[in-house]
Amino acid sequence: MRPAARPIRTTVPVHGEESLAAAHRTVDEAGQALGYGLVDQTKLVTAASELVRNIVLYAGSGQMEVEELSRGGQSGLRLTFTDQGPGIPDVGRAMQDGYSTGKGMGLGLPGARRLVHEFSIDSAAGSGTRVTIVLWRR
Amino acid sequence: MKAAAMPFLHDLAPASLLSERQRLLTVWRTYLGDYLPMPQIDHRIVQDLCEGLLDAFTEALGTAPPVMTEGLRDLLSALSVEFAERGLTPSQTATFVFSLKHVLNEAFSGGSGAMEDIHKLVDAMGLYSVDAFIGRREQIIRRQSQELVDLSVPVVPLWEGVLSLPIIGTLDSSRAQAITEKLLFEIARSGSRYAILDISGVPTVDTQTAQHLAKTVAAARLMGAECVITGIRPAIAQVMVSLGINLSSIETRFSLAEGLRYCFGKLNYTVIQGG
Amino acid sequence: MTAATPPSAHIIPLDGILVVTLPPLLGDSDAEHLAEQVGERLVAEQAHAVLIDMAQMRMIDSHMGRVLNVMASMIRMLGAETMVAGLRPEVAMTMVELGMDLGGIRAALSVRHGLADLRARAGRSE
Repeated sequence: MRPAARPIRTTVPVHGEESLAAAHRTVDEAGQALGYGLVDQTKLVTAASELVRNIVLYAGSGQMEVEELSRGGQSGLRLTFTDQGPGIPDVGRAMQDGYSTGKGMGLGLPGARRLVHEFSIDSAAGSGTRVTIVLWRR
Repeated sequence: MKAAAMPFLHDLAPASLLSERQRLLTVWRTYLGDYLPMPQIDHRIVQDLCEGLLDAFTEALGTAPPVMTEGLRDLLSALSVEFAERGLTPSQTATFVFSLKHVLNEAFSGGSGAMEDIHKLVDAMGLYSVDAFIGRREQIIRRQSQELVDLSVPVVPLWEGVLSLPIIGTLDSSRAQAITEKLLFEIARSGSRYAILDISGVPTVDTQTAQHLAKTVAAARLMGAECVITGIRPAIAQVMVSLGINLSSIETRFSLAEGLRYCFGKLNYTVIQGG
Repeated sequence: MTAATPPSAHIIPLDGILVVTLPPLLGDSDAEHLAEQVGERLVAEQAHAVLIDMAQMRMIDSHMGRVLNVMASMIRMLGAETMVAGLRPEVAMTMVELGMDLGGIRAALSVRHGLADLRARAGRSE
């Protein structure tokens, strides 16, 4: 059993590019507390970076929630990125490599999905976007 | 009905469990000896588990209706970990928890409507212990398979600046990840510019395996190292072509020796036969 | 919240090669200015190559990847070559998984390897 009894749970407000550093630090610390290997740690921080930047670029502001999960003896982190921005009219298309409305490389969403074990996105034009990712500790 | 039973539960049950604690524990251990022999576990540990569980359970009955407490969860987790590590089965784990009902029948010989609530709690405890047991066993399996993966990835320095990685067996995705990690960290540690991935021990190469190889090569390239893939048997080459797998951007050679010769060429080494 | 500014890049000219050392995490505004800074120094020093030391970088996301690609294109237009050095294994693996590609930018295991390589090439072309 993990000796640290208190599960990780924290929220980081995102309101501009300067929030990126705070988001990095939070995910980095949470990942270290959970005990990921170096590669998984880097993957999670990078995925978080892509998704926070998406919020900054397309919605302006929102938040990132970091939660510890345990399921059947496995533990991991769930990161939820929420914004009240314009939303994504065509989620299927946004999940394709290279698709971008012009501000990035178009790797943000599909790239982040490849870095984690679970990925889900909930969005519609005009109603904001919520992206949830989970990375389990191997 | 239920409401009327509550005061009984709340006030009396813990008291009877407390006053008869020693007798109940003896009853429980005798019952376990008869119906659930566990030679794998030291009897003192069984005794500790019984005492801990009965005390935590007694405490849980202090609220109406009784609910799973943090103390119960911790004990059940510890119990399941112990059972999983000693090689007992999930049903033995659950049977152990359910045997608490026998003790309760002794304690509540008068019988009451509240027994239903108590049974519900014991059932929940049994299910929780099974979950915890399976979780622990999965952890053990993961650790063992990780150890196996580590053992099966030997990165061998062939020459100064040249590493070789003989891959033997099927490349599933967790193994491919481990192999990539080991190779890349070894490249960085040793400062090797060339790595030869020999796949002559890989029985089949499907699209996913080829993709893993291509990713490994790409990551090594970003680090400043070049990979050569050797040991592609004709049959595998044929399958790869028919699957439309293209490794054309990757240096490939028939044998490990040819791969080494390629690296020597790149390093400006000349092999001269003596005498 | 601490108001500590993240460390920025260091540029050192070395025998016609600009060695650019990047910090563990490069802030966005520093990243935006990087190409401009490097371009100015490249012209001032008449360097023939830029060697970017990535050994400290803990993460490269697609934004940073784009900054590097844009900078390499600019350096090519100025007639010089770009090489990255010392990319960490975990960063390289993550970049590949992300689908990122550093186009034609050559890579070296370390600054030492990169300098030797660039000097050998310069020697050959002279």
